[in-house]
Amino acid sequence: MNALPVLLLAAFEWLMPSLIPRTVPFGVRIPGARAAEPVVTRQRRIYRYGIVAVSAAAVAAALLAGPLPGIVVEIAGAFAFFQVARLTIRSAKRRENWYGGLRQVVVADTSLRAERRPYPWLWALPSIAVTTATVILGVVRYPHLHGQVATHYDIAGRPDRHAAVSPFSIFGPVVVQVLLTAMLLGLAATALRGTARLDAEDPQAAAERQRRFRVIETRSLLGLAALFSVVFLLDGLSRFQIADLAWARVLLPIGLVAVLAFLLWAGQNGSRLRVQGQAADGRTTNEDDDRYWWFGMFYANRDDPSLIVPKRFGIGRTVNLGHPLAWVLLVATLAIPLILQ
Amino acid sequence: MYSNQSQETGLLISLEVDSAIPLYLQLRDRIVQAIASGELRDGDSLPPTRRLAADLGINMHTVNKAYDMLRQEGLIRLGRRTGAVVRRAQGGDSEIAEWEARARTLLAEAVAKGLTPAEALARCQTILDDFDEPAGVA
Repeated sequence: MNALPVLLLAAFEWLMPSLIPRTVPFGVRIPGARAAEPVVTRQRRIYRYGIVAVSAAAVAAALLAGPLPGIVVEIAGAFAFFQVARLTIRSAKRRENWYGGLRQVVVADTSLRAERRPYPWLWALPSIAVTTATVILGVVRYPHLHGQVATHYDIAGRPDRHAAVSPFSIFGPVVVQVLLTAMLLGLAATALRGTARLDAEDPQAAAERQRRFRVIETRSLLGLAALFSVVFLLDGLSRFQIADLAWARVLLPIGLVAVLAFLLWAGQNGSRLRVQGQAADGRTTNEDDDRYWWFGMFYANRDDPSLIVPKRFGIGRTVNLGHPLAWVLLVATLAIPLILQ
Repeated sequence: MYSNQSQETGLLISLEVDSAIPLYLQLRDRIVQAIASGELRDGDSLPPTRRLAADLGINMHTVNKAYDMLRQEGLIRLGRRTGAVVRRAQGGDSEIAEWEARARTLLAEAVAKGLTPAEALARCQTILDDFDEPAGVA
């Protein structure tokens, strides 16, 4: 059980090179024609061996010292192997001048964001209903509560801290649940209408892929919202002294894996969705935008007015650190859990 | 898939980042061509500055500059509430004269590079014929 988070992470990291668009292996922008260069395939293999080795160490750390040290070892090790692959591919790209003679372009298909896409409220309904039910149950049950309630769980889901019944101990998690649900519903709206980055080598296919992926991403986020609200409701049932359904905690990892599998199948930004495409003209390619991606992972571009952009190596989106609001968001995300504790 | 409320038409825009032609000028040229070819029609909306800049990952001022140039040329209207709306120009005398001066340079280049006047004219006709084709052909 202690090693489970490490193993999930390891599987995710191992799969990642296959989930990202082929023109950004390990955070390095390359022309599509170079995607199968020996240096790229070789680094992918080395990275995967690295992940296996790191994960073995991380599992040992998890079993000996607990889940958290295991996770730290896993993340730090994977980051190191990622950087090795990134720097190797980047230096090959520079040495062999992969961009020589190519036209670097940025493209936009304005129809993509001009199309009206209705928000899928039907998919949002479960999380809204469950969260509302949790709030009502809490309010109804509060006058009848007594004794101690669990307020904190260890990473394996066992209660390790308790407190007397108080508005804070009872409604604290409810507040978190409402905020989390609202955040996921908001992110779903972003996924539906957010910035589109298209592959300049085949913009029409890229736009079609975006259309399909937006639906998948939106539904995944709303599915995630439903999952989290159910888990919070189950937790509420025990905190409100209605029923103790501790076994139902397994829903969280199962649900997470299901949603992730759905997203992974589509690939990052829909890169694995098969769309009828046109052959590139061989001379036009995406802008070499490596300079905006610190460590190949963190995006900072002051010129770009987008706040949220697709991740380079990972699933989902990341913030543009060149946007002033990004820092406000980051501080807020860090501050909310601290204040609630 | 286009809704009736929004008159914004889809447009594929592609800008070359290390070209000698500045980005704002490339964007302006693309929109002028889209108007000529019928991809953009009178009354069509252009995307809001911020959104277009975000999709292209370029500075908002670049898009602003292109839109401002198009406004000065009388090809779009800029309104606080309506945004940028295409206005197919009726062709004022001064605008035509300004265009003619530039056409003269372009045709001079053709002749200087060895094209006969008849060839130059034929090529111009081909280009103009392209503009007449129905909209939406990218």
